[in-house]
Amino acid sequence: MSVKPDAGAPVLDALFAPRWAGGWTLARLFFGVAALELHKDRFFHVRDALAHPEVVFNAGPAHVVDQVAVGAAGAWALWGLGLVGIGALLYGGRWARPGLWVWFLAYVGMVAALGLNVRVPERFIVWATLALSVGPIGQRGLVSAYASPYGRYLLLGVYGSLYLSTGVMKALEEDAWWDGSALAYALLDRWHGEGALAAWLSGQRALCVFGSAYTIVFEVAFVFLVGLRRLSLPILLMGVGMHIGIDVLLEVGPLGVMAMALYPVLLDPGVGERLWGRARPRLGRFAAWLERQ
Amino acid sequence: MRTHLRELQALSLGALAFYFVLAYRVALGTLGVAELPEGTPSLPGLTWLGRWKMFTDLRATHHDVLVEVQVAGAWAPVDLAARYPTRWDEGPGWLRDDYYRDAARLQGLAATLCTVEAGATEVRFTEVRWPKTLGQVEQPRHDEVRTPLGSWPCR
Repeated sequence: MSVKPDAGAPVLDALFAPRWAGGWTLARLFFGVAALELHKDRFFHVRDALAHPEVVFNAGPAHVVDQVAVGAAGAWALWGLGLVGIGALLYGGRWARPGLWVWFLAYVGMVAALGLNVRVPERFIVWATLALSVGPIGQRGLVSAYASPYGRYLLLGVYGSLYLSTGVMKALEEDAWWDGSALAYALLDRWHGEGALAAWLSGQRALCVFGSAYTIVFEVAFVFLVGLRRLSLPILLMGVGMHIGIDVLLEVGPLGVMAMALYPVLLDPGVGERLWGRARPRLGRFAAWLERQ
Repeated sequence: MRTHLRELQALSLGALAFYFVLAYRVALGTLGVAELPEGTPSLPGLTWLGRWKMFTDLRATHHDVLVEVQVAGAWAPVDLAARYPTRWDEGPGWLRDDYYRDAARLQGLAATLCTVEAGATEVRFTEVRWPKTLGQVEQPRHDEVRTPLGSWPCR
């Protein structure tokens, strides 16, 4: 049996046909703003982390600080470098990708320098940086342009894995997710709990059951629905609802905002182009500004 | 050239999908739902970047670490939060379970405290847990469970 050298070409043509790329512009800007918000808060933590250099609370997995003391000046330099990177990412054009990587490497350096643990948000940042790097963020005028969907596919894989894995683990591992008590107790976490509203909600069993069910249904269903043209927007809106709910009730760091920042890329490009076509006349100068980004 | 790029991209997406499926399989293995493939002890480490676990477990208790130094035969608490305010999103570094449950790191912290606490002859660490109280901001300490984490003499 012989296979023609170009037997897969029609499949690849269909798979990699250029799609509307405006989502990348929004994602770059949103992600830059989210990174800035995260970076701003780190300013104070750098001071805290280095307040007592006689001991380092290294939680790994990178045990750089066990061997190398970066010191306050080095940590502040990394913070400043990260800020420069975010500025370049937001400025866009040919500076977008270098800016993204300068911020990313500065962030990695800060985590290593301060001996801090690497959690899900940091792992997500690795994948987000990779996906943004292979996306067309270095081009301007993407809201009226088409580009390869390769970066979008990569992001779909990352988000599909993230949501499905955490959703299935909740559903299978912990019975307390089914009666709402896992969520109720999480709302009272000493460091993640966010005050009076979360504390009140923890005592409302019916609302906790609803919140638990909403979370699990979204996380498990996401990977199956986001690729469907008609359901792409509804499932992403459901995700926005979940992340906003989490961010209002819990202090969970950058994950929610950064995850939502890349949603414009996950949206079906055809749906995104149609929405942009409807919104453009109403946005006036803002639309013109976005077109130059 | 363009065709080759697309083939490489398709291959990389396939590899990524395989990686995430593998990570998911390992995650199920950690739950006891599925067994990890035999002869692959490094799989959990290799798939770490693709595994996600957030707020999965029921955590019905608060916890703290009580640090005490012995001075002239009497134990006195150390305000570790005041001495080491180090934090990164989720509380002080010394209160993370992967830090304070590591005896080697506690031993290092004890050695440091021996040098900064005047007259200290021994340092001991105790994990303190108490149940969360649903529906209210105030979380009073009651029904505490104390678990010794270790003690080290000063040299």
